[in-house]
Amino acid sequence: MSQALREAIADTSFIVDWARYGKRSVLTELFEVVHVPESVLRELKLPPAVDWVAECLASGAFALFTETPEVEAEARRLMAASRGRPLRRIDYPEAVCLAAGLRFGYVVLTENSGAYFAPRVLGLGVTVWRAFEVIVEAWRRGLIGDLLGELRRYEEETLHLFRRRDWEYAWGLTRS
Amino acid sequence: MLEERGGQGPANLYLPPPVRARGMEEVAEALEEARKLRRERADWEFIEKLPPKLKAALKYYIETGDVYVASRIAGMTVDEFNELRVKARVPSVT
Repeated sequence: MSQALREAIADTSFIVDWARYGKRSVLTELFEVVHVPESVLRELKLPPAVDWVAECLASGAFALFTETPEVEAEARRLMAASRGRPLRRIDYPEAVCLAAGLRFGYVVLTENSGAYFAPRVLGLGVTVWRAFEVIVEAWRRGLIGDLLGELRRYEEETLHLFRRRDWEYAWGLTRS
Repeated sequence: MLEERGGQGPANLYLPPPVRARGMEEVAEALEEARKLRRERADWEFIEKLPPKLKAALKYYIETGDVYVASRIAGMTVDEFNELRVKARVPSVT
């Protein structure tokens, strides 16, 4: 098993799905710390997400991220830039995560299409992962055994579906 | 192989499928595939019986996949809206 990765920052769209996953603890094994912005925390009221986030904050696996004026300004700049594009625009909570990712080098965790495709659409130098990339990386590091089984389990437990291209990529990995 | 798929971030990190070599058309295709899955899998009978505000929010979500704005339309937090999404059998697809 390899060392934990550095730091990540998660938006609400990622947390509300991931919190329903039976092996959600994989995330805190993968990253040294996952930052949760205050704007994201405000969107969590119900279990399992709010309970899980509170537990992780208590254990130190998660850290509360307070937006600074610089991060807020960068987030608003990203939102404005995304509005001029033909694809999905970026809303404030995920824009904060992207801005923090850019500023501090965090891996951005999101299930928002606008944020996920932002590195290419907006030409941003930030790493953005969905649950798919997290599970693949966990498999690559030996934290989970059966990649395809785990992806299926995630789909069933969270009602989150992976796209055809993701499945093809995962099949390719397990065959190689 | 994994590192070859991306181009951003530290060299030891796995980088995700949407990389430089893929064009904007593929991004549009990905968004359309996600929209199609949400439309096909949704429990429309359940959705049509909901109060107008919640029905409008779910329809917005099905078309865009934007959980934040959808939750604002519904007058809910994101996690409350996510519970509604699951009840309506609308998959989340990114």
